[in-house]
Amino acid sequence: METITQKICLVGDYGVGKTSLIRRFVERQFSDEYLSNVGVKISRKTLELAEANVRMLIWDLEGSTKFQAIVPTYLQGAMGAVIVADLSRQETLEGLTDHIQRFLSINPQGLIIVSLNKSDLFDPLEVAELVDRIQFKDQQQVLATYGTSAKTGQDVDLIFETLAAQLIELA
Amino acid sequence: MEHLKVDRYLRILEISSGVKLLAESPEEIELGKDVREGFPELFGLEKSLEEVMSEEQNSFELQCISRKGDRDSPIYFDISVLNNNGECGLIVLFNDVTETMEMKQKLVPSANQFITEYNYS
Repeated sequence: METITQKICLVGDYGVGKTSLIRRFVERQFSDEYLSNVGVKISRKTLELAEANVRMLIWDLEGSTKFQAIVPTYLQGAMGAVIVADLSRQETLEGLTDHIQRFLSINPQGLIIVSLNKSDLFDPLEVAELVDRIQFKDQQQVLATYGTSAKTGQDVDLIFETLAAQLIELA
Repeated sequence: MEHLKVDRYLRILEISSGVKLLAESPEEIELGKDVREGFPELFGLEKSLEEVMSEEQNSFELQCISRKGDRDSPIYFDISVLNNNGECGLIVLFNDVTETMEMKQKLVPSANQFITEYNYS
């Protein structure tokens, strides 16, 4: 079966759980211990889908802050992004639009999944309401928004699988 | 500073002695192999690499790449890609920046804490 390689970036403010999502997806592990990332780290995982195998090169980018934006060269050549916010921190939800626009300004054809992470801290109904409210229907490149938890694994595989399935179409 | 030379198809032509220690897949760093297999950070950047090859761009840089492997703590390095003196290929340079990044790693938590307090003040 054909194998396609795709670069995917995890983008979001610091401390939203980007590294934990990758660790859950790639290594099937979770740790409560928080260590801020500096620089950029690549992880790899191949998904075997019906149409093709997708070898995902997942870029874990240093979290951005008001005073430090993401380095554009890191985003260059990415066909997909998971834009992550922390449901327990309002300012990270407010930053989603900026992250989406920044990614699309470099990769206009790129596809995006929005992950509202740390959903385990909230009642499932509350999460569902927030997910429903935080959709980006005016942005064609945004495929969907999910409430995720790297801690419990809730919808973590789903975000990467959804992205991979759509990236096959672009390849 | 470690380096690699690659041809126009990104196949490795020359390898300095310590490059394998920096690679994501050291076994892929062999003459004739695609450099992107050992350094997947270069995947997706083909357009920029071609521009350096054709001298439309002087150089291309990727900073602060982290690599842990079996080490206790990660090493960090910058990748600079330069034209191979008009020979239709590239020189890829690797500069170790671990010390600087370790210092940054120590400072980042307090900076983030400050930003959090600033956001909620």
